Amino acid sequence: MYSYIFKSTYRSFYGKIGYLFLFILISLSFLHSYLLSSEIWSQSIYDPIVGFDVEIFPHPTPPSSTHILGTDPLGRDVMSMFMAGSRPLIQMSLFSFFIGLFVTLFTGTLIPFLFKKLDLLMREVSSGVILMPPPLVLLILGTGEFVDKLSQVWLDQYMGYSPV
Amino acid sequence: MVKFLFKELISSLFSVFVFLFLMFYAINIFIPGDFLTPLSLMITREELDGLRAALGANDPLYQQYFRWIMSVLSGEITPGGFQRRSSEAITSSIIPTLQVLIPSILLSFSLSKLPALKTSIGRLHKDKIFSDITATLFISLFPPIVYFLVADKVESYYQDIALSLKFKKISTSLLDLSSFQLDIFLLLFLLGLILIMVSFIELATFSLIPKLKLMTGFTIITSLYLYLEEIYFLQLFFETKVPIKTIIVLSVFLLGEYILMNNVVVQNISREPHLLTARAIGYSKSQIYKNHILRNSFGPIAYRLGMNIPYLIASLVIVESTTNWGGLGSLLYITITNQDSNAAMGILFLLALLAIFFRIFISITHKLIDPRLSSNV
Repeated sequence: MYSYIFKSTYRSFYGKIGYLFLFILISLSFLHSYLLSSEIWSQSIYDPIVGFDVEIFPHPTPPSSTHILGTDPLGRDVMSMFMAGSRPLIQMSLFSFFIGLFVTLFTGTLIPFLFKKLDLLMREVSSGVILMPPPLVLLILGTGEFVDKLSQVWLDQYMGYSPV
Repeated sequence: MVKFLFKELISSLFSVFVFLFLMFYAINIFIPGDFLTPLSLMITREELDGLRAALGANDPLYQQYFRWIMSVLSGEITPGGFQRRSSEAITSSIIPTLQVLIPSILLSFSLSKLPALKTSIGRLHKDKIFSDITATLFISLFPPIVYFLVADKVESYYQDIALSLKFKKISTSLLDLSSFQLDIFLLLFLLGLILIMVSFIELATFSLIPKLKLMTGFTIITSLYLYLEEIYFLQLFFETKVPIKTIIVLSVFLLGEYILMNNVVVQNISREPHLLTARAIGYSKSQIYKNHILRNSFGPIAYRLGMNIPYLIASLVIVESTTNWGGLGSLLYITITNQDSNAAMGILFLLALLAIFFRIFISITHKLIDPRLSSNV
């Protein structure tokens, strides 16, 4: 199945471009780990979170030989941040893709197969769910802490979490 | 047709009911505090608890949802006793939303057809790599970046026009018109401007005058000019500055999606045998495009447009917040960040109604245009 998916996607022009980008992202991710672990890039300067180049001031700085894409206002190397971000990007994309695929395949094929009339209801419910724009959900989720709204019993029993 | 309309309406109402139910729970669970939380700075905790109990803010969510639905059915979309934004304040932002939404859809939809129209019939079934990559680039563009690129240019064009007309802005000149009249005139003016803009783009691309679009655009603008006094007309023209910026940013946001959609659909249809037959008979390119491709492509495009409505709502929220245009999108952003859950639900209700309206309009147009469905009307 995997070889079939690979062959069918690789055949098209966009598939080739996609695989090229995926290869670049994976390479960048490994290259970043190698550069930091072998001390070619000093941890204190090129760490994507706490790195700071004291020899250059003020930050942000434009691209140079030491910082290929320059630095951000906090003095971190932009190229290093970009390379470090490739690993969670790939992980999140694959994770969300497979979860989405399995959930939709399960609900989309099994429910109509087992419960024919429920499929009509599911279709209408899914058209309601489709109306929810993801950026809006992200905006709502980003407004702040909401654990105090959840049931205290549920949090204690199932999550082992007690909000202060 | 009545049966079809009734079926569509029932189906859409059910979808909206599910959508509002999910959003009510999402807003009330994930947004910290409730609609009474801002009062905690003004009154004591005991008073606040008493108010919460009196207004039912401590009731289970399903009860609050039921109360909200009943309130909506009785005409009040922002219930809850303590209202930071009234129903009127929210409903009055529908027309500003339409002022940017309709011209943006018109502009981006018209422009999205250009790559397919510029391609020769023999190559339509192949990948349109250049336009696809351009479309992907449009999708990837972040609205604040587009706004940053566009805003200064629009500003300088308007300044040049104001200087050439020796126009002195009289801010009170439009006070004689009611805000509703002004909104409707502005909507018509923007529609006319966009139609003329699309006509000129098509003229530059194909060296053919799109008579209907151009005539409609000019008729709208001329009618407004004849109906309004010159000072009103000029003031109306300068009122279009912010919406024009919003329309451009929103169009760029939608254009990429529409180009990709159009390319894929046209590519699939051009592989069908009836197109080969039409070419063999010797039909011209425009005949093939109008009679075979356009009519047959409307079905899949209509389906995707219907699926695209949430994307449209999200685009509105992002773009209107960027350009500070006072439509439903920017209002929704403000209400969510201010934790005004009642007003947010009211706006979501209006957006859902807008989505229903678009969905039914698309379905009816599809049924009228598609030859396979129109025979059953």
